[in-house]
Amino acid sequence: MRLSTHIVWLELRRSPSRLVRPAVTLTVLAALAMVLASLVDTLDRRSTGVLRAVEADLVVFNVEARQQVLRSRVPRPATIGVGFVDGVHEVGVLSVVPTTVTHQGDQLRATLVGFNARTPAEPVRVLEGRVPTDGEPNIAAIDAALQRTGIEVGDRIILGGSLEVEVVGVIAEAMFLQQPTVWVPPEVWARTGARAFPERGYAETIVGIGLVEVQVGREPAEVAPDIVTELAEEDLDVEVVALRDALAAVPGVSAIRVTFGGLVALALGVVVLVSAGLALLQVDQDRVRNAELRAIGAGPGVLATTLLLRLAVTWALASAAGAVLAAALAAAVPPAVPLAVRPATLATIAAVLGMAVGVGGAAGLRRVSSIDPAEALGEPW
Amino acid sequence: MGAVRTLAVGQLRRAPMRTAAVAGVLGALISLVVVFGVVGDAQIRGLSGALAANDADLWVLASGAQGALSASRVEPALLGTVSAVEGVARVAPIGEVSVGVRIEGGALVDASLWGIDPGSPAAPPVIDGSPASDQDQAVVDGADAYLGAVPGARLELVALPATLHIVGLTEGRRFASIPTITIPYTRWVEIVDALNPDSDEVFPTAFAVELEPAADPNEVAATISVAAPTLVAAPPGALAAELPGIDGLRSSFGTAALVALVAVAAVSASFPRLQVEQELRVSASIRAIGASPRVLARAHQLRVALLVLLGAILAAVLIGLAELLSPPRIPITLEVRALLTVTLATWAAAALAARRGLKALRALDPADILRAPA
Repeated sequence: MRLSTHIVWLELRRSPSRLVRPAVTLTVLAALAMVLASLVDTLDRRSTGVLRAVEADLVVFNVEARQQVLRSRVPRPATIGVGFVDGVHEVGVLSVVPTTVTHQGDQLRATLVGFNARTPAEPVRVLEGRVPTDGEPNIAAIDAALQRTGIEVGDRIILGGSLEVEVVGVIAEAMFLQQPTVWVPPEVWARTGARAFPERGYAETIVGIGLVEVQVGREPAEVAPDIVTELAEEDLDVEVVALRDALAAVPGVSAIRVTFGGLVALALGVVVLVSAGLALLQVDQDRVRNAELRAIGAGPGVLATTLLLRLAVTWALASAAGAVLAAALAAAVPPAVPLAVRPATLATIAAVLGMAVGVGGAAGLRRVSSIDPAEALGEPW
Repeated sequence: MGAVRTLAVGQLRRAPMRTAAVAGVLGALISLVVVFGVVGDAQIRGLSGALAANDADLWVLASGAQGALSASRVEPALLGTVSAVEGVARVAPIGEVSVGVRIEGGALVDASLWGIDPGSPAAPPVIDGSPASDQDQAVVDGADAYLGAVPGARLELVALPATLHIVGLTEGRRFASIPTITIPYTRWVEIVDALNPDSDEVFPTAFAVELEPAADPNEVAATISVAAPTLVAAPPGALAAELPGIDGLRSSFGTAALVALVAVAAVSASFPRLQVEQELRVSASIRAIGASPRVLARAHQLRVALLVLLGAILAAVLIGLAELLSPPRIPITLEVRALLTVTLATWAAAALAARRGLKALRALDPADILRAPA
């Protein structure tokens, strides 16, 4: 191992381009994979942020909504009834409606979220200030995406062109269908929604979805059918699904996952292929020198370790540089481009890339072990 | 030229595995860039085609909706106000709502239900069958034929005891990437009214405007906003670009295609350079037996061009296979122009990189063959 490290170190000092050049190619591929994976991840999160912002085990929809948060209209008695089902710890309601936010003369699109404070419907991560509590008039919290447009705690904004509210807090980014969100008490949501959708009428007795937290030790999958059965006895038809299923049902999410995810998988396949090819080319390139090393006494183990070490250095350089490139691109693109880089995504891609290089290296090891020291003399014996 | 061709083809034939590997990698990367572009365009058409390809001169929405169709409700009474604006020839209401439907009794799917009269400026052109003129008739987008949405099929609205019959097909008019159904506006009002039993009145989502031949769309749009400050008018194509999510999706696919193109350029540039370095001794041997550096350089460039060509052919095969095997939701098609553009870009990058690598070839001393180890 020491000898291999020494050989790689000397090579890096003597002719860094031999190591750096394949690393540059691999860097571009790593950056490609990281950017693509981050695009899918960001598109997904910006569509489903509202549901990711809460900590609930189950989501209650009315049956006709077919798991669509925007369309769901659960009668208030149903959400109250859920609270009495065995195994349910707590229930809250959350409702959404498209709206506009006007701030200092600028108007932009947003999603208005009505929620019950101190329930599973309350957003978990508050970055600044506080979230409104039920019954508080004319106050709101905004998500970090809306804060980036210049709105701060203490500012006054106009919702739906008519209702002025004061911003009292900022929560972590919780976008819905690519729009930033404004979080208000249920009464404010009902008033604004009635103005936006007059055909639905003013209905505080109708809420969007119910968010359920089950008791410790109970399985959400066991509690869900009980909720449906108990509410059916009251002639209330609801559908209860796990939060993960509700996320997948958000409009566009499955299309993003199928289409974009499929293309990213294809891209990753290509990256794996190219990475493995690069590793094999490296072996071919070093064939003569490896024969010379074998001729002067280096064992196949040393050559194999040297190859793997060199590939590891190439991979580490490429992964680090690819991550820096992806992060730099994410910082440089306009906010409209859904590209936010998360360390977990970068680490996953780096690991996949490492495996690809490893596969190529493994194939290269066979070739290394078959190198004939006589090749150093110029002619095969 | 004969010697150049012999050298280039000979090198490719002598190392078939390497030739296949490089062409395979180039083909995979070229197909990736082309597919990103094609699928991106198709996805955007599927999300916004109903507006982007609409034939009306202007659409009028509620100004507070900020271009979001789902949030737009226009006062029916304002139809007269818009009609009275100078330059407006015709105005008709448009309605849009999401509903759950079963196509021919199949699985329950979400659909976008549009209320547009056949004579409206916004009516989708029918490419097969006839327009929906009766109350229970519907026109659907042909992209959803794989779900069974073809003329003669039955559409059941699950929330209501209502059945529609498909009488015609349109194309490129999908909305929100879900099956898109167009019915007469009065029927749409009945359905929305039935879906919202508490409602007093059903509001149209937008108005479609046809202008008089000499009218300027921008001027008329400005006049409409003055006549009715709660309304905003714009060409449907412009509204399509403003739909929520479109910008993000377009920029996502654009970014993905751009980064993939850079990757193709980088990879196609690195392989020729590596090959030049690997084959210096062979090149020195060929120099020693009389080949000029120019011949060697040309042979190498010809080989690069052949590899890129092989890669492009492979990319076409891969895209064709993807078109056959991918689910209908992923609309992959082989667009020859896109393939040619990406192939040319790839070849340019590879040729430039090879040219840089060939500097070493020009400086090559034939005597190297006597010194260099095998």
